[in-house]
Amino acid sequence: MFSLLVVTWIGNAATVLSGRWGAISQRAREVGCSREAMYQQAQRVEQAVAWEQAGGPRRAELLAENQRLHDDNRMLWALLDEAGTISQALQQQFAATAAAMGLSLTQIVRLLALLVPQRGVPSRATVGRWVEHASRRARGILAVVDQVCQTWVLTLCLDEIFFHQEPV
Amino acid sequence: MAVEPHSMAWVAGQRGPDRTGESWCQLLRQWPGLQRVVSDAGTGLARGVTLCNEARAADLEPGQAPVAPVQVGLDVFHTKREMQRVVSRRWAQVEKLMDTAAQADQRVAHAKQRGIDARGAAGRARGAWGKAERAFDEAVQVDTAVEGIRAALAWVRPDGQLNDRAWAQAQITAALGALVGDAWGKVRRLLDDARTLNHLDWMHAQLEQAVSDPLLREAVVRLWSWRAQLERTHGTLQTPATP
Repeated sequence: MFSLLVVTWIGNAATVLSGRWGAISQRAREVGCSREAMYQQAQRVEQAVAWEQAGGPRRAELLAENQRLHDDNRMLWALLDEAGTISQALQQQFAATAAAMGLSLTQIVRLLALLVPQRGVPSRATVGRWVEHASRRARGILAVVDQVCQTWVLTLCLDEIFFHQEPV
Repeated sequence: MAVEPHSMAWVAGQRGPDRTGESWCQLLRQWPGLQRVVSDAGTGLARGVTLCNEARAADLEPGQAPVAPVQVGLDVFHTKREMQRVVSRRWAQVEKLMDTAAQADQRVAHAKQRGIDARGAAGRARGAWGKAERAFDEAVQVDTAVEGIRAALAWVRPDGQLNDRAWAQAQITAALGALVGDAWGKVRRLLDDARTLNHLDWMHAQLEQAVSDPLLREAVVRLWSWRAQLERTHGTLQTPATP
């Protein structure tokens, strides 16, 4: 069946490439396919021949190479899973610092997903709790630091931004 | 909201209650050593600074040395953003005119193809191209003027010397000639405001305070400028920021 199909395609391609007037319509009727399909088949046959003549790697070689890369990829992921993961304390520090830099919870989770094996990536809610906890701890220190720094501020950039139509 | 520009610390972020001078004054009173404020041209903020200065003067005990009033400089970010907005709109108009001219060309080609007298269409196409080219030339001139203003607002001149008010004002005056029309009203108002170039005066005052010897000061500044250029070339330093 497969070889018959191949022969049909080659025949169709030969008809298209011969360029003889009326030959394509006649051939299309004979083999029971559209003229458009014949043009597409001719193009693919031509490409296949050109590929073969170019002397590139064979299909079997490419398939083998693809399989080898798949195996490598699987092995590397397994190794990464086995490797020591970032501790939870470090993840919490990462989340608090990132939040202080202005990143959203979703962004923090996405960044953590790059560093932590897939099954260990914390949820958005967990990261939210970590950030909330860190901000509660920092609040007391900030009040003191703010007061100490007030006398040292010589220049300020002031502006108004709006948050839910309320000026900040 | 208030940010300390050297440390980039967000020192105040207060929701409401309003944007009046009284509210700003209350906020500004938290920083007794405050000398300079960089802001937009908002009236509430300006009034807040005025009230703060008045309150500071009133708080003085007899015999106590007067505190220098808080100075206001306009944040050039707003000026630059407004300029960019007008420039973008102008280029969009040029693009539209060019599209119209190209369509007129197509109509000429279409008429010729169909064997119809194309003289009328050709005349209209010439007119459309003339209009588009004039708009393009004007937009290029505006671009040049805007570049001049950007240079005037920067710390360092294109020749590597430190910028100052006299040079910057001359650049702005020369460039403003090209910025005609109502669209430039806000930019012109901001650039006409003396507070726009206050950051340059402050820079020179601070430099004089840091290095009193003018020769040494110039040498140090030049060294800094070269080092900054070198580091920029190697991609380790951002372009010198404007306030």
